[in-house]
Amino acid sequence: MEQEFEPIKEEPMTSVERVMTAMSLKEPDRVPVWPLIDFLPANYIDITAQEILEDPDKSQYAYEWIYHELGGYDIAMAGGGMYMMYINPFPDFFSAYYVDWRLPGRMLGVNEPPQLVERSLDNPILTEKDYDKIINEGLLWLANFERAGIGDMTKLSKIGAKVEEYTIKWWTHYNVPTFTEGAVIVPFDLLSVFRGATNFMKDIYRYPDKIKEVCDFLIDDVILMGEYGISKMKGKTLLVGAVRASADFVSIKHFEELFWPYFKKIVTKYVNDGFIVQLHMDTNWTDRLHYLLELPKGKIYMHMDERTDIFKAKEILGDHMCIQGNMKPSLFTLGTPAMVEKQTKEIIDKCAEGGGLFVGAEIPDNAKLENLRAMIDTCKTYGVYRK
Amino acid sequence: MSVKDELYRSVVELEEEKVYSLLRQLLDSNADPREVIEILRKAVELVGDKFNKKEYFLTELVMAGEIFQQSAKILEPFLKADNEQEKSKGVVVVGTVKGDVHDIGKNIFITLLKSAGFEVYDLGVDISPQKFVEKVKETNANVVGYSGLLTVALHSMKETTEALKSEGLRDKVKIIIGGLPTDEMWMKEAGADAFTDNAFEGVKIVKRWLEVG
Repeated sequence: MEQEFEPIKEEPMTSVERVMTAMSLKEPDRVPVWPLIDFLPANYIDITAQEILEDPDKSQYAYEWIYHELGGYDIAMAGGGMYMMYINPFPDFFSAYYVDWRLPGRMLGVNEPPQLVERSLDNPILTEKDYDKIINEGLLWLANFERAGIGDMTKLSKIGAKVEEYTIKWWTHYNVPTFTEGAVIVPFDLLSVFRGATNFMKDIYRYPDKIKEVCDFLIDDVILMGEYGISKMKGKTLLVGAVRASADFVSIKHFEELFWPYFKKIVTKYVNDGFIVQLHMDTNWTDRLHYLLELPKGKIYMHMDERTDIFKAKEILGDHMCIQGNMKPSLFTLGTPAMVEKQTKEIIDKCAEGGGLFVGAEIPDNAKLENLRAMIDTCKTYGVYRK
Repeated sequence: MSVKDELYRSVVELEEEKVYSLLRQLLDSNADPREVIEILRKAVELVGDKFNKKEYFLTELVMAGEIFQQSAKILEPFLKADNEQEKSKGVVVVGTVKGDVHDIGKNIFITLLKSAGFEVYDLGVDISPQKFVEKVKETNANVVGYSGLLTVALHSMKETTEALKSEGLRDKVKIIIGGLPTDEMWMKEAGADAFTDNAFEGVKIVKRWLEVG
């Protein structure tokens, strides 16, 4: 697909410079803005969610289209990236081989974005008896080819080459970094997804020692799996997700015993290996933000959703890591440009000083474009750092 | 500490095995099963209070619900033998709406509703408006709960309310929506009467509506 796009208006810094400056806790020309867009273009142009997932050329076109349609923003997703995420041959949160992800055009309509089925209660992927099996046999036996087949796996190297090509295009042609080139979660979160959250919460009380044993057993493999995929594509950015150990799920005691040491180990290893690390923290982490001070300084960006208090995060972590958060996804669907502008300004007022801030949120696929523009334009005008 | 006090304490402290052995001890000594289940209910309520005060977290809430459910199974034959059936405190129909399959919150809400003595119908996930309508008709429900996490769920919630309206059922039920992103904006859009991101609070709302406890 070829189309000439209107060139993006030039600014004092490129997006790559702006993002790297903010991450190193210095002030760039303006606050970087990143709407985390997944399948949204499928609601606006003649490309389906299935094509965004499976056709790297069409998905690259879709992401270039939305980038230009919104007048440019600072972090992008490379075409084909979604395929690499969901057709991941390693046991991971996004891998349709291991986790019950319904994918567009397969178990869902062609225009429905992927959905995670939490196989809780009576039909979990992993039973409570399987903890020992993991220690004896690892995780590969859990692979299920119902949702993604062997045929999908054979396409990986071809699509991987496309992703690499499009990644280079974003970084060098557009000067925009691509994030989430790879993604991992710690063993605790992986087990929670495999067991189903409800079952796993009971296991935490019933078999805490066994869970710890499995986490110890898996941690080094999980670290390697995360690095493997991304090194194949010569990628630079790795997302470490945190989904089931926040204050919305577990006590500090369980967080400290079963989550934090492993999370710290993964993040520290990736930073030391030279990756740009993105932390993606779902739900409410406000009461445990101070633990993040134990991670390497000035190297990490952390995304929080609206359940974590970003102002508290700025206070605690402002001199330590780059942050993003406090915007509710539904604001972009239900809200108005004026509401978005007001909230963007509030975040800039309270969190921009000294750098270390990206503005943005996970964007629902049915968001209104004028709301996205309101956020982006506010960052480009109100978010300018005055020297 | 009496055995009954000890039972209450061990539910609150989530000492699962101890709860079951105390239960058997009480039943062996011919304790009134109705009184025992009330003790369990009060203990689960205290766990909920601790959850609201952030002394406890979701894991503890889930565990307390599980202990209650397992205990209720142990008590069931004794309650039945007691002849007089326990009266339901109201009928609640709950489901995750069409297009969404998230059910962690829904399941906890259901467990807590049951432990509070409600008759609950769990429709499951990805539930069409028509299925909600059918179940409400069939059960004469007092309350309907829509669960959802994704923004698409909001649209389905709205459709479900429309469907209840067109069947003339809207005025017969109270509607509560639940899920982490729900707020006043969601509630109005969905045509609901209440919203919550907290399963325990949700149960309190239902209790208020049905004037229980």
